[in-house]
Amino acid sequence: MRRQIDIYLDAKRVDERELSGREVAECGRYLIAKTLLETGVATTDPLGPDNPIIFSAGPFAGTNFSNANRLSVGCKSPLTDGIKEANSGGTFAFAMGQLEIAGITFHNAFDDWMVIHIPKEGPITFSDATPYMGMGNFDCAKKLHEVYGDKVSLALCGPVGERLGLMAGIAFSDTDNRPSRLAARGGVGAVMGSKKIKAVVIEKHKMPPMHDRKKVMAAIKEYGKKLSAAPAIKTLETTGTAMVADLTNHMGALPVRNFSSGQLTTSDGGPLKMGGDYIRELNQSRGGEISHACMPGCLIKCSNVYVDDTGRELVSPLEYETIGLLGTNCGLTEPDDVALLNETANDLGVDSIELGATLGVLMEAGEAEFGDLAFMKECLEDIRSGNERGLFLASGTHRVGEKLGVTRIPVIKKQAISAYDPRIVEVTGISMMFTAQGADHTVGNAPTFKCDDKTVEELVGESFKMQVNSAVADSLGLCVFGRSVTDVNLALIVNAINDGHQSDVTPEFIKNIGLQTLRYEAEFNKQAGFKTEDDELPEFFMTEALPPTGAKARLTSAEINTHMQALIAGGQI
Amino acid sequence: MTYIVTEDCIKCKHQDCIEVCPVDCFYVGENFLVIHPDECIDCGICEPECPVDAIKADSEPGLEKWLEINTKFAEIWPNITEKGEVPEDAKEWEGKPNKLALLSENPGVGDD
Repeated sequence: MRRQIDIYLDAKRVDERELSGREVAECGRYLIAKTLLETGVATTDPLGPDNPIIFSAGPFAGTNFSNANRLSVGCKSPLTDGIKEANSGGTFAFAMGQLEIAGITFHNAFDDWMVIHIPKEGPITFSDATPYMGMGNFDCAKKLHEVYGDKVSLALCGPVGERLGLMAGIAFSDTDNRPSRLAARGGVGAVMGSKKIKAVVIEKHKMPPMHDRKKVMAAIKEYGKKLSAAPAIKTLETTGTAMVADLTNHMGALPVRNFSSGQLTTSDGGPLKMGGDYIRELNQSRGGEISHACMPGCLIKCSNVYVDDTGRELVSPLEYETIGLLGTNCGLTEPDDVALLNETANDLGVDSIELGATLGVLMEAGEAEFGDLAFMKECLEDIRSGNERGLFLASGTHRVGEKLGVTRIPVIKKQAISAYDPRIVEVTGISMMFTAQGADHTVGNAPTFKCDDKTVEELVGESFKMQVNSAVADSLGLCVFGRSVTDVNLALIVNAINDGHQSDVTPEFIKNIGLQTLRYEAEFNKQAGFKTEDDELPEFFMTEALPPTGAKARLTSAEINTHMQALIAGGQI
Repeated sequence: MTYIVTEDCIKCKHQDCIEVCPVDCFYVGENFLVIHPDECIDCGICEPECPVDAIKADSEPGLEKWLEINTKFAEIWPNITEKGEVPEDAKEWEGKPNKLALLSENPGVGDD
């Protein structure tokens, strides 16, 4: 049994209802898409009180099932004006599960800024957030832990979210209580800010009751053994996601200087300093942690704790998307520089992808040379201070680029493109174009898929498969990095859900949830006014040859939609 | 970081922790349990399961001695993955101080 909690902020009223059986497995991204569609908020003002914000945890939340404690955060996006599910690791979903909470939906808005406290016993309470207002996330977390202790997990609206900045995410606690795991994309932090929720503090407790705990524990162990035996997982543990930079740089698909090159060459012919191999060895030699679990019990441990040459922590984690967008895309070549900016971005609670793409566009506009670290720091301080320029920058890549008259703006549906140039990594490109989420690689990423010998129809087929599988993972609280094991062991997962919750789900039911998620999301965006042409890549990807491969994009929204709509309607997974 | 078993477990040995370990990293002595520090994945689930609060994170100050004890006996004692018999007098020993002198180095009954 789990609980769904609805909090009506304006009245400070808390409603609860019990969920059981398969209801517990209908969660995450699926639940968000279904709920937002049924609520009829497609045309509502995303920063108005009618736009709910939903936190949803999976059926294994609160246990030590590896990589099964992801949290889905959903609302209508103020950045894209479409549907949004932003996903985060950390301990918040873990704590929710331990308190037998499957979902929390925040309705309407407080009159004054509040901190919400969810204890393991007793009622949910609301307290004045004045002492925390304007604070960076790290100071705010420290102060909240002084009040509520260490055995809590936090959800924070940072200073940019307070000011409704559209690049604001929501910061969640990691396993060491750093507020550095962000549900980053789409401006979910601005929606939290619009509701005047400064923080949600939830207590951790213990492993939640399961219908047949022995069987669930056996499944946890079996899944863990399969993960430990999978080569792809071992690589993620040893080199982290930064290894993707080595791959995309080799392929010529790394975003460099506002997507004007696909490869960062080193003047001395040495190793790629922004790559996983180099970063791992450097970090290890300095005494950093080269593998780190962002969620309790995760055996993938793709995260890290990156330190400087004195052994002082610079940031945790330092990962590929940030290296790509906030690093090479802005002309940086040193991981220490990216780490410093990343830590500031975490403190401000902003999406490092959107931030990096925005700064790249500023450099494209001639406001600074690519690689100008001092300029980037100044921009971040403007964003922190909330001055006129800072407010403008926090509105994100599309709005900043348009205002400055830039023609090369790397966005789809007003959201910055992730660190995979769609001219080369075409399956991921198709996923980013088609998805209702705005450009987001996580909806269907396939960076190693060989694309250049395939037809567009074949590429769409691969993207469709990846999108369904990713939607399944996002709808069960699973991290997509476990997919090499998850996708071929759905029966194990399904049995564990049934053993834990006395449900009757099947692998087909779960796959259908993935497919249905895509349908709901597409319908939401249709109601919000999106058209096929909104899926188009920015024109420069079609007209500019990308060095060093010379590739141009061959992907059009019309062709992709023709094939994708047929696959989704057909439902052949 | 790892979790380790400390003094409060001696002669209590409730073993609730064993059932929730995802990597089977508990080892059993005659009147005490230990965690293998190199096998523990720091998930922390076992910590609140212990009815006598004997499981601690090794990052807590003053636990160096217990880290050594866990490391030493994890190499010697048998692995245990299923809860066994709880000592009949476990309740009587709960919370009693200075139990280290009572720690038996004899192995307990593991899975084999």
